[in-house]
Amino acid sequence: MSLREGSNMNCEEARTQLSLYLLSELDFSREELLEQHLDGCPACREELAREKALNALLQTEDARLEVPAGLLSRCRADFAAQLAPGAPEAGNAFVRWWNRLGDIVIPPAALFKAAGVAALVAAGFFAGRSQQRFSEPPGWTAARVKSVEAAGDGQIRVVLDETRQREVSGAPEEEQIQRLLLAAVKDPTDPGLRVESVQMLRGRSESSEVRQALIHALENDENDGVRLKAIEGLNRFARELDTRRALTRVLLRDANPGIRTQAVDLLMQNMAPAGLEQETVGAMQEVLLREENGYIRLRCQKALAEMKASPGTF
Amino acid sequence: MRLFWVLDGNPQAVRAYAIQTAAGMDESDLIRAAQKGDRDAFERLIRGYDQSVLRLAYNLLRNEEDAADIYQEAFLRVHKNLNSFRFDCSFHTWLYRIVTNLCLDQLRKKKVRREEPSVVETSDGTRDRLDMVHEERAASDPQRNVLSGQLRDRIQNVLGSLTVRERMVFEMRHYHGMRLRAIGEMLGTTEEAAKNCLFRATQKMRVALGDFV
Repeated sequence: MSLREGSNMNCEEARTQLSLYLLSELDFSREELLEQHLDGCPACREELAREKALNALLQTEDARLEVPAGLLSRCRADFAAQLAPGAPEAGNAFVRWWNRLGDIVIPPAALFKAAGVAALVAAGFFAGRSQQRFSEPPGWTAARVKSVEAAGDGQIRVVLDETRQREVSGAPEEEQIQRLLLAAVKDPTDPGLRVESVQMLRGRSESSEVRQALIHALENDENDGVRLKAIEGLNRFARELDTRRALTRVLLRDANPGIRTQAVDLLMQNMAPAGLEQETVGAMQEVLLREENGYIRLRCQKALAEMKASPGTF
Repeated sequence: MRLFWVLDGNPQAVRAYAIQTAAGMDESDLIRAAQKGDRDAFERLIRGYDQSVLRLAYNLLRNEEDAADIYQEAFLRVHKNLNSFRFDCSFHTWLYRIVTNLCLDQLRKKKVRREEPSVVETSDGTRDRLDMVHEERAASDPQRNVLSGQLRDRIQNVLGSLTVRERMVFEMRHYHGMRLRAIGEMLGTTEEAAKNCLFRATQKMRVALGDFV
């Protein structure tokens, strides 16, 4: 797979580079050579289209094995038990309770903390986790003792804060499911939950509410994985103004060079004439001044040249 | 797709409670707190990664029990060795180095490449992979069902024929969004070697999926 720098690329060489090109894994000079070759070679452009189709196929849900339902919960429960080998019946009720709490918004750890100052009572599991669609399923209640006081007649008064679990299932397009996913995307305690939620919302990004949530996650989430999924979800909307503005801000501000790279690639793939790209042009000029990552600088340089914009501000 | 969620009538209230307990710690704060023995911080730290670790292990090993073992072993190692983590690399890189090494060992042990089983272990017992693929989509459009099943089978077969390293690089690049440089770093090799692995894997995929594209 060696290339002679500065020489023209032939078809055989070009085809070895196509998959890396689509993944933005080529360095600048190789990419330049390949693009020059593609400009003049319809056969390789056709091959590139096939390579794109292959990539798209590999990203469909059919391409992957989904982790079986319940496996994550089981792993978490087993791990909790291993960390607390002395806990009574660690593999049973306590661990299941710990794990169920882990599946919900309130982190078990936070509840452990609360247990330090007040007793934490798992008030029991009732009829298991039967699934009903938007009806009131049997659930379980976890209660935290908020306060205790002597009632004066030999009785004790205990005030509980209760959280009731409810399970909901539905198709991704259903409004309630989307509403819950949108709430989950902003859950500050569990990045894993946010990643999964963004992943599930990605296919629904034609809804402006979902798109705004993805943009918000892309610009504000502290977790790299969440931001990466969000930017992938916005892929199809990279020509739209709000998305482009967000990508521009990400290009300037995101701490992760991988995400900045994705942003610059998306901006470049969906470039409008320079007159319509004032914000992007300005951002890219700024990138040239301060960006540490050579690849991103080169991409911006190239984009500015394509838009016939100067590489610097005057 | 099913979503599990919990709410007490009002998700806003649940979220408000969650925000109150989050204490706004970033990852390095969590790591430092966990290094000092804060179990709460440790749990929150691993919750940020455990789904992705399990997905990687399951897709590489295609076996529930093996994936669960990797999960346990990886996070036990993290727990045991967190004090030796010195922020020389990102926690993500450090964790994935542990996970990929464990997966490589397991794959080598089982020689999955040559012995790709046509059956998988599930909670319902041993099942034929092909039956599962078609069952999973029984409710959807029949034509799409068949195509989806064929596609998934084809992809899984190719993945089964890849070398351990090819499979690892392919999985991490395509499904975990990692850059080849980072993958090379995790696998203790160069970016160029990771590129070559990916190239070979993609070639095999292209040949196998030629009639789908």
